[in-house]
Amino acid sequence: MNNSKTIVIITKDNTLADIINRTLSDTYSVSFFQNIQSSFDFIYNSMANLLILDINPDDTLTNNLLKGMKSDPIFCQLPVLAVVDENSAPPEWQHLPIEDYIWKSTLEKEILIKANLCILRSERVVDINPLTRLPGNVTIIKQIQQRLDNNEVFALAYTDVDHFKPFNDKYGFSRGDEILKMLGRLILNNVKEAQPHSSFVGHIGGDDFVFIMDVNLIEDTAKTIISYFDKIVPTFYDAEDKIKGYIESTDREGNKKAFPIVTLSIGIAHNKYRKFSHYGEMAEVASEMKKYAKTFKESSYTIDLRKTTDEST
Amino acid sequence: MDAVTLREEIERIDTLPTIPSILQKLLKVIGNPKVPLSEISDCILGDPALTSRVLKMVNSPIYGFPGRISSVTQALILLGLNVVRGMLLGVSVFEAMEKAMVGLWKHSLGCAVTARIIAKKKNLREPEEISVAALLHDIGKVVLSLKFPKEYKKARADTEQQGLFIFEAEKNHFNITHADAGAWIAQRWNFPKNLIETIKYHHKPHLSKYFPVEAATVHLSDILVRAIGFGFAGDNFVPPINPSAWEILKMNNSTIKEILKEMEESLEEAEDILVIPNE
Amino acid sequence: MPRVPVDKLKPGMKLAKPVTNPSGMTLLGEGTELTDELIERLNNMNITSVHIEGASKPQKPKEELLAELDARFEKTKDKPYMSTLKKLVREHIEDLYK
Repeated sequence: MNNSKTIVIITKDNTLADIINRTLSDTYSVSFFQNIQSSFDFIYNSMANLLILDINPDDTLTNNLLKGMKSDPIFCQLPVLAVVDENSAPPEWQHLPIEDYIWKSTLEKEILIKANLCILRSERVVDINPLTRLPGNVTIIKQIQQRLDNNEVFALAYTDVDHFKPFNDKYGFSRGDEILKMLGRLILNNVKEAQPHSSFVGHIGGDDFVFIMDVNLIEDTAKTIISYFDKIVPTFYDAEDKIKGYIESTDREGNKKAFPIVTLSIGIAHNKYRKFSHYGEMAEVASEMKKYAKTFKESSYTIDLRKTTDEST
Repeated sequence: MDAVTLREEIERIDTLPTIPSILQKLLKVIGNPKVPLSEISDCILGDPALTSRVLKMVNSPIYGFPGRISSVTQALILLGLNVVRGMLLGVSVFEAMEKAMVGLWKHSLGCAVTARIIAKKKNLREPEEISVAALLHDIGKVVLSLKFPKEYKKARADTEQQGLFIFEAEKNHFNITHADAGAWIAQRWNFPKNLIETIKYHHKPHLSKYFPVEAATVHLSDILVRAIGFGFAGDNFVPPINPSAWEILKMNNSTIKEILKEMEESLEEAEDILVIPNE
Repeated sequence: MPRVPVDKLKPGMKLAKPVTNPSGMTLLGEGTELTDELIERLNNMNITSVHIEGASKPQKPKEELLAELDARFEKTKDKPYMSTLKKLVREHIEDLYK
């Protein structure tokens, strides 16, 4: 059963483990762990398709660790099926990021069906960028509009990778994709670390990423992202190009040209001093800032400092 | 055992053992949510097992860019603190940590420190990556002794009884050396090419086609650390310096003297990591 | 700045690094001059060693270190660069005892 999907089961109950093993191991590759901590190494290193978790609502450590894991876009897609003991009080569902549950008493009969369904359901991908697993355009627009409707004050950043096309031309789109996946994680981790709550990271497509943060946190985060991007991105170049600092490729007219190592440009708009009522207005300002940032040779960000739409800089 | 089976067996290894004192320090560090990334990074860089764990994870295909990252700091940034904490929570320690293992760990740490000193002195690019390569250069020994403990014990016994270098004894028993085993596992774990090659050729740096300077640095670090007797690398001898390494690094006597001096100070601090904090 | 085991501490020695408890709180600051009392306290706290200001003096006698050096280089002392290296390490060890 080499190409079968993988299910991770977390339980201290040996009888339960036996039942699950019996009913699932013909169809799936199963791995058992006593607690969620010991499963992380496996989960974070390999593609698991389903997590079956023997739930104890009082176990706040496990529940927090589960929340932590699910907050990462790559692992958010891992469906969690909770095993519930109907004799104890039901868990508070709003605090548990799980997809479905199954009762211990009917487990033997239902587990295979439930497992199949959970996995199929998670594969119906909705508005997630397939490359980075970050939320896509529909979610992004919703995020911006909702905040505007709630009169929230926030900052919106748009990103762009300069000289990306020559890179793809020379090294191929596969390697270009690697840079995008790296950038996605870079933005996500830096934003979430600086502002764990109420921040947002999305991926429109290609090299267009979006992130939303508090106005007083966004500039420092943009700086950090840029600094790490510049440090890490040379690793994606071949050694000779890395040392030279540029690649030789043909431009859009077909002439041979030297293109520098890719840089990151970030444009930031916010509504601290001016009001926006439609997401499009704000997106336009962020785009404008991004265009200006692109005029600089190095990776840089530009933030809108104007107080009204009419003020000229 | 034929080479193919040997390699398959070795590639089955998932993780390497962590020293108990490191794990204690680590649990303290990750238990505190306010701890900055640099402190976690330092803790991980103090242990070959944790370093290889982090690099294995960030180079896993699920993140999308296998074979690119050889810097622990970059790895932590790309994995994110949540993932790193989750991973570290699952680290268990091998209770009966053999004295030889501790000696090897000490030797590896010494090499990492020394490689960094050499890299800085010679203005080499990416001193952290070279230091990581030096930290991991002997993981093949851990791998062989984990998978084939009885056979490896015999090999080590040979070094004492027959006055052999450990890699000579390994060749007699396994037909391969720890350099090969280490390179196999590094490849299996999708480590970047610079790490794979440096591990593979740390005893024969002149054979490294793409990373001769890095291989020479790790080679020289290994010899210097053994020359001063810091830690235990499997035998009690100092292997010969490969002349090409000396030449490629443009070494001279006064530079070696300076390096030895800097090693003395830095290694003392490194030894602190080994001391178990008191409860 | 060597680590000195608590049972070898003498009054007058100065701390090169602060002594902290397991939760990271500083108990004795850097530069504190040790007294009999403080040494007794360190003993009671189950601390095994502390960093003392001053140049490192290796624990082993010089002759022992040099003998070990000879043994280590026995196999390769005639290979290129090795006698030079051995000489440099020897000088380095001698310097530690000055």
